[in-house]
Amino acid sequence: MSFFSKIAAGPFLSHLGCFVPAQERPSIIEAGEQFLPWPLFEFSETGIPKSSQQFNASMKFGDRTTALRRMSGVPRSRSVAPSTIYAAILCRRLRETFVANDSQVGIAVASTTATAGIAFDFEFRGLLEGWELVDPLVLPNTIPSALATQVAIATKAHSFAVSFIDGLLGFFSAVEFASAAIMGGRSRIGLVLGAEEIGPVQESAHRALSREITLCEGSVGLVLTDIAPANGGWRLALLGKGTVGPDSNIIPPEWRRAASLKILCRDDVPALYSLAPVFALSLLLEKQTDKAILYGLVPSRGWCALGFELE
Amino acid sequence: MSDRNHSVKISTRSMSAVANVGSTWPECWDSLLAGREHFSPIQQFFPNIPFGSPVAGIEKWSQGAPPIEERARCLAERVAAEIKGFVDDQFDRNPDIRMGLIVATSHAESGPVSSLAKSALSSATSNVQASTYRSVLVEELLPAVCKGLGRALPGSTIAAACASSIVAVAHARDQISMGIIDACVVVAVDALSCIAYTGFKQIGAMSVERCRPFDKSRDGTIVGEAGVAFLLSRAEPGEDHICILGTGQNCDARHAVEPATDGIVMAIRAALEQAKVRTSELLGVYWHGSGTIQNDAAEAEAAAVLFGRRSPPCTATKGTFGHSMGASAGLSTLAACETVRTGRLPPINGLRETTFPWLDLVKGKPRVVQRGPLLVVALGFGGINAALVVAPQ
Repeated sequence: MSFFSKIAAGPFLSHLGCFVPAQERPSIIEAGEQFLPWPLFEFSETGIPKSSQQFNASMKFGDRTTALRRMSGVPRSRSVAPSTIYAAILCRRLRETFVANDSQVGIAVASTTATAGIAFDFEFRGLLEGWELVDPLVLPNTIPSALATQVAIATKAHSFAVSFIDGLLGFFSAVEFASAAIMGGRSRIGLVLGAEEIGPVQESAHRALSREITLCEGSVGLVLTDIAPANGGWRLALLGKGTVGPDSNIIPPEWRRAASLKILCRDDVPALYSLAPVFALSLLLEKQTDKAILYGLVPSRGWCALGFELE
Repeated sequence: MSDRNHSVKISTRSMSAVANVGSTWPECWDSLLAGREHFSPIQQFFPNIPFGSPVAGIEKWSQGAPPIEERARCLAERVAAEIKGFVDDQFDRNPDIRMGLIVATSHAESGPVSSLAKSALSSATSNVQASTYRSVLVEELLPAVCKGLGRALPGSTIAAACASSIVAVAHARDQISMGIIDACVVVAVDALSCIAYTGFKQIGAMSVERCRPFDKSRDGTIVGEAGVAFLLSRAEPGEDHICILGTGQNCDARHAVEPATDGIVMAIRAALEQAKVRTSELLGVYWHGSGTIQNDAAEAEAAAVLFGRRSPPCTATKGTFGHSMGASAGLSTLAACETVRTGRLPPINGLRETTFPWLDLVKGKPRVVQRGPLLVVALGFGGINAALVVAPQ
């Protein structure tokens, strides 16, 4: 089953951002601009993303643990996962791009790797040293939603806080959730994030499964808003999803000439691909066009699409 | 009240559940009405957990009890398989129906990481199966649900702690209301796990005896597991459907594990506002009612703010089902639909004496109520508050 649905009065996409441990501070751009000099991913003609050389050389969390935790603004940050730290650092910076009441700002985060490391540590230490010696506030951080709620605490965003599991497709779902909240009038701003981490557990899993994708960690994000930019801007106008395809015949006629970019998750372990869509969007929206469709495809699972229209 | 003919509805024929007191939703509902409970030792599955509320008869499933690495996905597949026929009917009637799928969970599948921790402890990581490693990097609840349904549906997995079910319903309702999809299968699931039990115990939220929501002597919750499935759609009037009139949610972001009264009040007000229902019109409330000191006190305070000196009839399901985390509000939602359908509000199992006199708590036996709007409330770690209003057509 596959379908596209047109969206009436969708939210505007105002800013995009990314953060990796090697950066002093997050990179933030307006929709329609390119990330410089930090293209974490490069996209080949086939849509298969690969990590850029610059990123491969970047430092990882362990190199700057204390400084990063302090930057994040997350309370009791020693009890949270590195991916939460990455997401909070970026989100605080994205929060500076607009003015809104805290109750009108919501957080939707996609991540697949956020809980494995911290849950492993919690259980391993409990079994090894005794449960009474384990930090009790690690528990609430072992569930996927902690990523969203901790970021909500750090950035004073009280409208909604939801996490999505499922890597690449999870990011598209997070955009859809935040957009629906804005279109439904329950929120004015949706901060949509992707955050992933590579610790010993995730690294072991990758090694055991002989995955091809280069290991990478960090966070990406975008700002969806109901406030129209002064000079017009990109607005979400089309959603698509399906289990096979997408078949070009089902694309609404007025969207068939739209610029498009496909992120193809060639292998069936899409965990780290939740970082890819924001970079793909920065490339796509820079093109001279008034309609653009970003696709995310995981052949074993299905596809999602976000269509943006320049208004 | 909002226009019910055009509202999003749950089909009562699509409701499915497995929990500690039943292998089907009708069995669960009967147990809830009868005040039955089933908290039992579960050391055969989890050596570190003295007791909990495992799914009824799980050890007798055809393949035997699922291994802990696959426990959540087995529950998800089972409840999905229960509604397969109903979902097939929807496609038979309308082959072009745009149907989505949302899986709601608090912990997702935590068994694989648990296995890795145990293996690491015994330095036996070389014995770990590739499938266990795979589960660390791949969300496998959605494929399990699709397997149970016998068809692939485009979907997402939402995690909003123990409020996941209501957040999922809210999102499904939004998508249907906005015309993005026509119908949505919602599956809520969480399984018993070492991390859930020890974690709740670590923060002092586990009872040493039983879960007694709103009772004077309550001392905590009993961790459990469950799977719940149902279909939301914009069904034609006249069929056997319960309307989802409104939903509300927020993240008060006050504390990692403790609830905040004002956040609960705001979520309920948002749901009532969307439903266009006044507090005086509510005919009953299903509270989160986890049986912990703080949770029940915060909800009781919220009730005082909203309802004043006397609340509508109030109940909670965790005295019977235990706390099945992300699935718990799914069970409460199905129970609320049954109350709307049958006019019976189940008693709070384990309740003897309360310290909240302004709450009209249902005790001992079911209460007969009129068929009208009901409120369902769920709270999650991290300050997530969610509420929904159901009503007859």
